Amino acid sequence: MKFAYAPESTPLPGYKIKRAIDRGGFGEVYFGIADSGKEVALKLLQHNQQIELRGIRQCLNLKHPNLVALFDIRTDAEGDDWVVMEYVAGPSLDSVLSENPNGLPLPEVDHWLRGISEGVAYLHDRGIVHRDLKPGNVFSENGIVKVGDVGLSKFITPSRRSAQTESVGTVYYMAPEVARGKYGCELDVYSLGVMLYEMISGKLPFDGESVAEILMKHLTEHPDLSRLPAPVRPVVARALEKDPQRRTPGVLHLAREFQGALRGEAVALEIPESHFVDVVRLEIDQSRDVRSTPIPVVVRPETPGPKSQPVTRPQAKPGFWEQFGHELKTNPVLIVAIVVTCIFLFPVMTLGSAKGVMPVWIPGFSTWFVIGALAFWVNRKRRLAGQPHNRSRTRPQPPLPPRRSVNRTGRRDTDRDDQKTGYVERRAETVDRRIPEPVGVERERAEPVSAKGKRAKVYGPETPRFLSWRDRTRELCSALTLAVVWSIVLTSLIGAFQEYLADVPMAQRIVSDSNHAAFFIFTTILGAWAVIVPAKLTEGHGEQSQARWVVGLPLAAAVGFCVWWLQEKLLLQLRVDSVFRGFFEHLGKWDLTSKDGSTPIAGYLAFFVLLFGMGKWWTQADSFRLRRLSIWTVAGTAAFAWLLPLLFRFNQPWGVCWGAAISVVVQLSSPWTRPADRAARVEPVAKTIVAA
Amino acid sequence: MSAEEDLLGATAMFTPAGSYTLWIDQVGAYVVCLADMIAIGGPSTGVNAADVPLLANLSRRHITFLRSGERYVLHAHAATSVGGRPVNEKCDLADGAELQLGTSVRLRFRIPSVVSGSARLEFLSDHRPASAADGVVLMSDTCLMGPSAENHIRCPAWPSSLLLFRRDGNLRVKGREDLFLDGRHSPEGGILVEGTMVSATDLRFRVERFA
Repeated sequence: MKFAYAPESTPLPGYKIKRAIDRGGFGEVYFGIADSGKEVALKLLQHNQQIELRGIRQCLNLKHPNLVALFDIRTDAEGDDWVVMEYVAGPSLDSVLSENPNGLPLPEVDHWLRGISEGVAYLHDRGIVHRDLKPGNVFSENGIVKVGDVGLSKFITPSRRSAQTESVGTVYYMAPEVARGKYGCELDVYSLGVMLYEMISGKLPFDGESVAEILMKHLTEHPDLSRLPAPVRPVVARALEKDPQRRTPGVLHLAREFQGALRGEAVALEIPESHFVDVVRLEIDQSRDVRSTPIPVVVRPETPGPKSQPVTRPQAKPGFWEQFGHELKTNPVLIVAIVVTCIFLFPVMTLGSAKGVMPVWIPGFSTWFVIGALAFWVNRKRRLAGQPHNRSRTRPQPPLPPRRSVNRTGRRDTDRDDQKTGYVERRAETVDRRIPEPVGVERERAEPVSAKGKRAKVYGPETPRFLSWRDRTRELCSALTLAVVWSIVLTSLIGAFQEYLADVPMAQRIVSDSNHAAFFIFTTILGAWAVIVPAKLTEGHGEQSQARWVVGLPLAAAVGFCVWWLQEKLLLQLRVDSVFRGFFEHLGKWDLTSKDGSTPIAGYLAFFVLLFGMGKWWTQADSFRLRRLSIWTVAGTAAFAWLLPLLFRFNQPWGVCWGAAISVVVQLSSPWTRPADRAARVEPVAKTIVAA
Repeated sequence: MSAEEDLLGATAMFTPAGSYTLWIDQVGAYVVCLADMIAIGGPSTGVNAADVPLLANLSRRHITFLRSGERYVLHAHAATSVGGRPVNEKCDLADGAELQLGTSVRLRFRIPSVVSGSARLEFLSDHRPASAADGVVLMSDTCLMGPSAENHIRCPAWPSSLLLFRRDGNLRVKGREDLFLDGRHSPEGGILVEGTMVSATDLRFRVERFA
């Protein structure tokens, strides 16, 4: 590395340069000795001088044991500006980390964190954001941690918290809001969070092969907390929050939380599930890494050492078949789709059109195929966009930290040593009504108010929440696809078990041949779809029973019509078979039961309209339902279907089977969010409510 | 005067050359001691001052390192312990030994390379000489400077190692890099004297007499 000044040169009167120390993003740094013998570091400002000088002038008279002291700003004969500052002989955190690739012992991490946070808190208290916290800027000498490069700091006050043009800091430690150009002290909390993560684990939370990739990860991805010891996970998770408003409120706060976690104290934080990296996606990323052909791109020219190695980024995009191969490995929907396609094709090929199967199989199969393809496409799009996978089904189960002392009101007793405010854990339904706070380390957090005036409650289907159209479509597609699969599985089960029911009175062979099986499969699918589609499209809109019934009942009638049409088409005669005599025979001039013992169209319409009008079927498809599969709901539906022939005679065994099967299929195929994860999904809507 | 001091005094007369400070860009300041016997002690400006005086509460000549062949013997003139055990007069030093001088000064003795008999003293406590020094090399025949841990002076950013060596009573330098001494191309074994600046594409250091 070339430096502008040779040893023994004296560009600044009174100081003799002895050697070059390093080159940072903002200029060269030399070790110099004053005429008196005082050792100093001399920083020559080469780029961005205006910013640098402005920043440094603000900081010139700040004194703190954890900050590298600034002595003077001088201009040499050639008009270059020099900053004269304290020379710190100790190693930088950067070099310490490169000697400890697997992270530092926790007490040592605590030592660094304590020193950095004291120094940075002092800056924050004076309205200054450091903006360039990174291991290369932090030193330890005689057991005292010193934060350097305060020169990059920007003088900000709350009123100036407006858009700032130039990007700042080093990309590995850069908070997401920098990309938007609006930032405050939370920026340093984030950078310190990244450093904390790196000190503990030895790894960067967001690493990549190009600047753009790393920035994108800061913006969209969640750090993999499984590399950290369980007690400190919530602490780091909160420091690395993308939203500055939700981040740990100050650097001192972060240090205190970390110390508390080390002491084993309860931390009133829950890690959002989203902070655990999706294993499936990790696999994809890794396999992409292997494939990529590297071309060198220098990422961090200003920092020497092992991390400044040329970094690479993938050149070729993986081809369709490679993509397909990975999807095959990682996308369960696709695997099921392929298996079921084979199952479908088999009877079509063997039975042929002889039994009139063809006209039913082909449209059914095509519909199903289109939906499956759509599910695959949406999933793929989503993954390529780097968004977390649908966690309700494929999320790995990480070890969760022990549940902590968040009480039912969603409010926690605040830190004992937190004199100013303490913070309040924001639960899902609580909304943070914040005023623009003064720039400081500890900030006032307003009392959370509940959107509905109630405090923490169980989230159910009626809880309003925001679902993006992309999510909605994805969930809908996968639910519709799975409904097909489950219908087939259920029918097979019924087919398998009815042998044993042969002697039971009233038990009737439902799946007696392939036509009956196909009929049952299709009717179950139709019924399930009729529940899932409106439920998914209106999910999260709150309690709107009437509107849902208005949509649901015509759909039920449509299902009834389809069932009737199918049985006509397949030449199946479902005989009326009921233990009850039935109260009605006619509905106006329409027969509900034919004289010949078959059920006419009105019977089917009435049956399905009544079945679907029984209760709030949409709750069975809602991802916030109480249980993934509620046996009681299924039993209740079956019982209701069994009782329906009290009104008019119908084929009771088929009715019961339809009711139970549709209920089971709807529940099994609809995505389900674990109660613990629901809070995270509710929050955005609470915000919009308050904004409105 | 004890027999020990007699011996030390006699050896001191044959000291071939003094000590140099190497000011190395991006690395630091290293003191290279050429003598076979190096005394370390507290601050003093007198004639009997230590070769490497530390700003520390030590005797004027607290300990002496004596090199004989491949061995290093530590002579303790005041309270000293090696590896936690007090030294009574003298002891042999092995690679990695931790020295405590007085109550607070701690040093580590290293012989980083198997191909060279030179040793390095690392400062573990924050006590340093009055003028800048990040480490002390007790140089026998050669001193290696380079990126890996086997070098006496570790220079992480350097592309390859340089060798300092003695020949004809001079301190010389050679290496794989194209070296320039004070701007003059010096492919093989250039002589280092006080004030010489050694440079190559990616490295630079200056030799000064250690004050």
